[in-house]
Amino acid sequence: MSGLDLTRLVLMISKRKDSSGGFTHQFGTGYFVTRQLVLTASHVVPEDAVDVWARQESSGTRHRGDDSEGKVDSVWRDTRIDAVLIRVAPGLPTAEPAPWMDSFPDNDLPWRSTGYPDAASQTIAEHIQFSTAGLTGTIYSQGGRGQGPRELELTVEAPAQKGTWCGISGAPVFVQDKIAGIIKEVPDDFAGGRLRALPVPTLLSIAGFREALEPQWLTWPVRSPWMLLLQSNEQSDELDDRARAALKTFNAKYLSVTGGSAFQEEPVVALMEDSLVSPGRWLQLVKALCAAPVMIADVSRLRPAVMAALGVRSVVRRAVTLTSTADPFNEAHLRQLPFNIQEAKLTFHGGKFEAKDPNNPVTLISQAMRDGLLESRLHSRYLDLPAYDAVRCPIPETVAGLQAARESVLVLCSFQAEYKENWQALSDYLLTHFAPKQPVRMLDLGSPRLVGQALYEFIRWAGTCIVDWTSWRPNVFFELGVRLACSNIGPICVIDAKGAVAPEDLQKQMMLELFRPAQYDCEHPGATLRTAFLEHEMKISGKAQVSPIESLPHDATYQIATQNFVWRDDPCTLLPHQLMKTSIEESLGKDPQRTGVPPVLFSINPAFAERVQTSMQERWIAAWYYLTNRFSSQVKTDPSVRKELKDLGENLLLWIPSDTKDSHLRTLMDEVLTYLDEYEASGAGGIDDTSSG
Amino acid sequence: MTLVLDDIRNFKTQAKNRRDLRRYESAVRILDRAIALAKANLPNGELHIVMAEELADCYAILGGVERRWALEVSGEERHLHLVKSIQAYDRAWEFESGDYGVVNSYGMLNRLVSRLLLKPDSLFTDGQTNFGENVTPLSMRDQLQDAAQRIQVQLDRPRRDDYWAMADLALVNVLLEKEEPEVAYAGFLGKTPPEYAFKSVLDVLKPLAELKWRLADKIANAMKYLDRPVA
Repeated sequence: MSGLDLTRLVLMISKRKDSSGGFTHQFGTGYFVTRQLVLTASHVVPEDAVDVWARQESSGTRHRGDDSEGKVDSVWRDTRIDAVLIRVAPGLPTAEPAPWMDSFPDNDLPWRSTGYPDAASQTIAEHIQFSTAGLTGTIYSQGGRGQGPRELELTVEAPAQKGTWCGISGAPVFVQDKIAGIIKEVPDDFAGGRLRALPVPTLLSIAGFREALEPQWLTWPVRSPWMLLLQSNEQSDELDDRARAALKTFNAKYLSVTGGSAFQEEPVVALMEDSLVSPGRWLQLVKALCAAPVMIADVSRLRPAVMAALGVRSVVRRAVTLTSTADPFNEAHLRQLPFNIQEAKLTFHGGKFEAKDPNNPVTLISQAMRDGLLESRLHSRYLDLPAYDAVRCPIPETVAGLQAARESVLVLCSFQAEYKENWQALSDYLLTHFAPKQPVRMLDLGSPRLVGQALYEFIRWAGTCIVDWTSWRPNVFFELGVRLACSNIGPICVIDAKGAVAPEDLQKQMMLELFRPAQYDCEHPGATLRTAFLEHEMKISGKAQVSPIESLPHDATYQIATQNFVWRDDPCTLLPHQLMKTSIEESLGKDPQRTGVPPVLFSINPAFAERVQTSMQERWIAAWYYLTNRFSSQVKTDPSVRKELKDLGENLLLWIPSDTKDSHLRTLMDEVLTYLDEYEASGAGGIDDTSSG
Repeated sequence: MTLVLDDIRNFKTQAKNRRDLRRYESAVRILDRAIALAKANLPNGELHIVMAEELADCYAILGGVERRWALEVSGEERHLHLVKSIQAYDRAWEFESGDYGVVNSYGMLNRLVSRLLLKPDSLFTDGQTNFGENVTPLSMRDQLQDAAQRIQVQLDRPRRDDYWAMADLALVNVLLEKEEPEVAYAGFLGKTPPEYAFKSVLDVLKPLAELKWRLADKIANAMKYLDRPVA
């Protein structure tokens, strides 16, 4: 690679529709950073652009940008830092990924670029002809700091006049043979003699950018539901085959029970070793973990990457997650499972089963899908993996409490006897390094609450989380996944240097490469850990944005989870009337008059029963008042709100005795009845119910 | 995404409200829709049991609507609605007693209550009573004895603590003059049933108390025992 490659340089032409219906064009510079992705400044391709083309400098070939629904579709965009990635076709079929400069310059450095400034364009026969202009100058290593994100400050030799820089935006800034940034701005106060650029380390610290750079590895359907299957390379195709058969069985037998659309009958298979090839691949897997309506993980041999992915999944998706093993499946084996997995429903897909055997994995998986989908619809708090609710508990109530959590040093590690020496050495060093903070393990947590719950809560809030990979314990990797997904302060991974990994254990080797745990030896742990801890501190404090392209930024998993979490399903988004309805149905079921057994435990106690009754009635009343008063105009016009109110009204009526003496309730009942009559009369419900017997 | 079951439950809620508002015609129409929906899904192996349960419930609610309707009219119309009530409860009982795994006594007992309202003497007749056209003849005392045994078995396990089952057993014991109302309904009261359960039990007892038969006083006493001031 010899630096700036003119075959990758493009003139960006964005077309916008103006208010009078005509079109205007906007120009800038872009650079192919992969075979199909062009990087430029966000303002070069405005969000309302209807069309974008990239014209290659070297050949004049025009590459068209993706669009959807009449608008340019960016692969990734960040208007805050002013950068965008546009996928274009046909692209450069043989281009290698661009080389990135992944650290800020320590000293002043010469830079060069080529772009399409107005200063280099000519108007010939009423058409603008764009020509490139080569630029050189110096990057001031001390410039571009201050408030806001760090920038590169560039001096320019032979500068253009200030007003004629237009079109240079998006041009790549090269230092030797690496891209150090993209030009985005001409400062007001240097008469055109300086430029500002977005530094590449800033770009590389953004997980969405990293993920977008990665060629698409996993693809999944957008319109139909689908199953994600996680497994390691070493595992056989057995679960894959079983899952495929289970999906067909589910579609044929159970879809009528669960409702919804048919599942894609091919599971989307994510091989863990493939997901560890690069940070971008891992982040694509995280996206898939967020998106998959159903996931099944092959937990045979409790491989570390599968466990870490399960940990991520347990934070980003409430349902439906299944686990299956080909390992011997008996009580002794179950007792050896890590506690995080013991709570989950585990199926066995090894061995042979008669077709009608209820333990046949095809039957078990399809039925588990049915039950999981149904139950997750009926119970908004449905869970099939631990951690989801625990990491969502509110922050410690007092400022001091939050401070204490933030200042704690949580260590996720093995509890096996052979780890004792490591713990002595590590905890001793941690106490020295982080004094006066005490390192705490799961067993040391002070909370009287359930250990698992307190642990996950701590995993989220602890300011420092150290994950010791020594012994490669499956529960430690599950917890690693939880931390990666739920905290914007990534964990510090460490491992005993003596615990060599066999070269043939590809998965472990790849995990070491991607997550780069700091190696220590028990004799002198501080010798290596001190540097690792300080570097980590620099990264999380934002003082250094050094994220080598081959390794995962500490908070990248969290960033991707934040962007891709399917928040529409989260009960936090429910409006008060929906929350009231859900809370009643969760307490009493959807048909409370049907069963003659009080669903609320101990509500056979008359005083308690009366309060339960009152509470439920009042919740329906509150839901009605909320919807009618808060959305008074929509209640008259919006069909979906009208239908919602009708359902509320019907349920409320069921809870008010028709011969009630309470004048307020009588008035309310009349109001509800008037609405229901109007609703039915309007034909929305299709039932004329005003005739009496 | 709404499920068949959600739709049926919504229909039932609507129908119960129309019933309580005395809009019987509308209630019947809504229940007909619920029944049609459940019937259409009954052949589906995965929904078979649930749909059978819903059909039993819908028919039983329909039997109740028709009975209340009958009690508000007179003459031929009363007879007609009582017959419809019996027919609906008989259909409910078919699902309760069939090979569907439905455990309930809603249809089982109320098909007998509606018959008693049609022909009170049938309670004191040995052997089968003919209730007229379109109504299956039954030996009422035998059926009540059988109902008592079945409900007792249900209460031993699958319907343990079920206040509806307690109320049904109490009524059978009062009708068979096996227990005084206070004793018969003690179990029901002990389960702290909700308001609507009291109302429902009283709605069944009221027309029985108004019949000109020797049980009228006992049933009226039961009503007094159960009547609670409405909030």
